[in-house]
Amino acid sequence: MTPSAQKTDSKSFLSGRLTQVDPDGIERELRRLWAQAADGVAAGTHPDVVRACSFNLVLFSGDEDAESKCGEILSEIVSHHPCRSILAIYRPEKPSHLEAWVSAACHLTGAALMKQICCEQITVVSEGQGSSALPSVVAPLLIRDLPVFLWWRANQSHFQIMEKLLCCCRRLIIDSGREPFNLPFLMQAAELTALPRKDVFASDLNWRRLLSWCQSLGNAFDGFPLSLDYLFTVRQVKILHSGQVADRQEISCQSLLLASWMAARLGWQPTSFLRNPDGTATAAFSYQGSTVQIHFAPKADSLPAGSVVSLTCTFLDERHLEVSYQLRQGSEYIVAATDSPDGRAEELEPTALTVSESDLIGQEVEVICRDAVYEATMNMVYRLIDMLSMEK
Amino acid sequence: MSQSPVMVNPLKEGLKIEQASEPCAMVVLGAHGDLTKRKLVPALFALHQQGLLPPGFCIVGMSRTKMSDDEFRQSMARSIQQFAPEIPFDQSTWERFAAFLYYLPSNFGKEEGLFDLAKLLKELEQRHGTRGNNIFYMATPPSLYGQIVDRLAESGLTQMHPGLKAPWPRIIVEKPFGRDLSSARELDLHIHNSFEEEQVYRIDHYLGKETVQNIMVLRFANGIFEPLWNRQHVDHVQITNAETIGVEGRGGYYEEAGNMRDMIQNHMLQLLSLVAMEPPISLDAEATRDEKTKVLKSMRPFDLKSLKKFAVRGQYGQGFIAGQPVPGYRQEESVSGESKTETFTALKLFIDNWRWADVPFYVRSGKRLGRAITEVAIHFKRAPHRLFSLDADDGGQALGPNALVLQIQPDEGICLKFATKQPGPTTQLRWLSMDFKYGTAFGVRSPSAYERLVHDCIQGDATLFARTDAVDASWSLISPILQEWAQTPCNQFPNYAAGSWGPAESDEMLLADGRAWRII
Ligand SMILES: NC(=O)c1ccc[n+]([C@@H]2O[C@H](COP(=O)([O-])OP(=O)(O)OC[C@H]3O[C@@H](n4cnc5c(N)ncnc54)[C@H](OP(=O)(O)O)[C@@H]3O)[C@@H](O)[C@H]2O)c1
Repeated sequence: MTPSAQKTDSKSFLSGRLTQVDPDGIERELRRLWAQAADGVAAGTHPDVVRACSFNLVLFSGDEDAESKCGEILSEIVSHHPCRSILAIYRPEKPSHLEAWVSAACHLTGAALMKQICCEQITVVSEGQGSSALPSVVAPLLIRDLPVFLWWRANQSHFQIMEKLLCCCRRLIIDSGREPFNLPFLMQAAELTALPRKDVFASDLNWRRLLSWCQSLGNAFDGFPLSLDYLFTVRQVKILHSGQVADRQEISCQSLLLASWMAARLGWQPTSFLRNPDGTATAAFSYQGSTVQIHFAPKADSLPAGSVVSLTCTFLDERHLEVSYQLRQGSEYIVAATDSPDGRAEELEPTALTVSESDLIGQEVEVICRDAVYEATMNMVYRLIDMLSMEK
Repeated sequence: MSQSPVMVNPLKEGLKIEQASEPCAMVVLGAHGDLTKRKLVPALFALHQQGLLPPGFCIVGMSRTKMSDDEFRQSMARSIQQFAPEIPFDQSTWERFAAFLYYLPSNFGKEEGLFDLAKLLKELEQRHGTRGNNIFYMATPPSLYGQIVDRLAESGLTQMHPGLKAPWPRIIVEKPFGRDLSSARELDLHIHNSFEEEQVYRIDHYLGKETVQNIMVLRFANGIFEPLWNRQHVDHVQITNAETIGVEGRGGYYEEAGNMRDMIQNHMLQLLSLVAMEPPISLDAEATRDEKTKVLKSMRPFDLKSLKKFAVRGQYGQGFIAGQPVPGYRQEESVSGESKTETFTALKLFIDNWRWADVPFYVRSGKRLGRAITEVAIHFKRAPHRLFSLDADDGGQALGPNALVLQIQPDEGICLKFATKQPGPTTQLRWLSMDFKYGTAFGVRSPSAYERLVHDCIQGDATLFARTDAVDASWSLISPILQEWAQTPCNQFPNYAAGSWGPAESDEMLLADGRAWRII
């Protein structure tokens, strides 16, 4: 998409082309474009247009390629989840500049594909400004009485602006996968999860990426191949993440999330978390008088760095359950398999892995209440990272 | 909606995924039929794709046609692609699904009809870990239901071990549940000889539709509607089920059933009971079904002496649908040239309880009507004092200004009609509607009704299935009309043209009350 000249007509607006607008006249310009589109429908020059919106999605980014990359992702999201999307770009290090653009993301629907469902997409770019300018443009653009999701597609360094944007949001979505080994980021996410404000709650795309793992692991204890009782006899867990030798000192955020989820669900109490001399790490837990250990280690793999590659549970009777990432006929799956008592391998129906950011956000916006499982997981993350830092 | 009876797996608790269902085998009796091909197997495949089938699961198809397992699998693969193109079909998913599909040819009319089934299910229990739990899906002509139940019992497949909750048998029964009150009771008795009521799942696929389930959510999750949902504020309710299609090659079946049995006794009355019921004390299956049944039991019986004021029947003649000429009902295949079967019904019903006393519920259902639509419209009373002249811009004022319309299909959604001022110097009113369409707010595919219902049965959740007392209550209401109509066949048939909105008597029934059907 390339910016077009000012005073674009509604046809070009509805076609998805960006229209530059005055930052303090965004709503006015949108009204003008919609009124023109309505006239076009009345005159029969446009197909029927429905302006659809069921929530606000603010995507915050400081990336160099934010306009193109994030714009694309937002277009994908709105085709399934109609919303007003606001791409808020913040680059304080650049020369001072504030600008705004609007466009519509439309798709055809109806029996004869005669109706266009359109969502507004607004881009606000704030460069070389302090942290107040951008929120002051974004906040008035939010459609009242609809939920507001703030997708923090940025790094920790921009956290100072988050507070201001959170004033008008109900949901904060971060992505600890952007900095796959940055435990302080995860720690901060854990703090955000415990936000004192009852009406704002946080979630993490990296956690959502893990849900297929959680599902696959959970399914394995539904009677086939393992009975539920096995869950209470886990003695060791080994989680491998994708990483090079250079990363050997690192613990991946995703592995830690997965381990923390398991521990929180099963009531394991952490007793220690140590980095081992060989660069791996081990967390120990007490559970009903026994010790359960979780080992974290890297494995050279083609998956993005820090992604979980496999999780292996060893049970009291020495049986094993391995849950692993697999690529089958071009599709990504999580597969759980176990060795049966008679030595046969038993494999469960694979669980499809959701990886695209737009699909993950699509799942996020369907969650309207606090995610107690995530919050308990983050509480465990906090306790574990805290133990690790005390060891230093 | 209610909790799964299985022990909760802590790893799955709280995740946006379903708790596990218990392992089981599903036996489809009538697996070569239309229902299996169009609805059932596509629904099972979609459940498999979403990982919603239990870990130990298999399907056994049975019918008279001779086929091998592989031929059955191939035929089902074709059906899914033909009848459910919206479900993505990829070969590797299909192959995993096909691996637990089996076929056993058999004639259920013969004594030995189900002898081989028990043996095969034992074998599959070992192979797939189904743990001896079996669901029997009756997808045969209803005349066979009784015999099949007996055969299942003779083969020991309906037995439960005393004091144990598993292994269990369950039975899914397709409509029609009888043809009248006595045959429904007879069928029930037959089924109850071998199954407990909580093992019986009577499918009413209307209840599996997302928008129908949304009626409960709309009413009981929002604080604003329920205070208005009563005789103080509601003038009347209209429930419309209009189809543009005719009998689509099922003339034989329709001749026997007619519109009253096919649509009103089950779907429409179930819909009505959801709209009119009291809030249940919980979402537990029994609590919801108790309230629905109470509605059906409170319906005022028809006064047969003045039946014409309360019940109208119709049959379509030739006409036009979407610009194309279509034949009349009597010209359809397998339909008698002098058929007296009704293809249209309109009823005026009253619920004699505290909430709804004297509020008419108008229900109409018909084939070959002007537009395919199913909706429930709640018409509210007028404002008590007329401040404004109601010279509004449409004729809808006769119905009162405010209506809340729950659109069931197509274009599922909710629409609120209200009065507003026309821009300009005079105070001219205009009716506007505030529209919410599922399709525009939620871009995701809605599961089909069968997907939802089959999944619920596997989970042991009977909330969306008709309970025996509800079926009994609805037949008790409807059977006298059917008898009366059978004794006094209508000589004016056909009495409405295909493409119209039914016979004139249907409009007159409302006109006599100073009301009119919604124009839709
Ligand atoms: N079709 C629908 O959309 C629909 C919707 C709602 C409810 N229903 C209900 O569902 C049931 C099935 O409807 P349908 O349309 O699928 O009927 P259908 O196409 O006529 O199929 C009937 C099935 O029953 C089998 N069958 C008949 N007599 C048999 C016998 N003596 N022994 C073994 N198998 C026998 C047939 O097997 P062969 O073909 O091998 O002979 C066929 O597989 C009916 O009760 C109907 O009212 C259907």
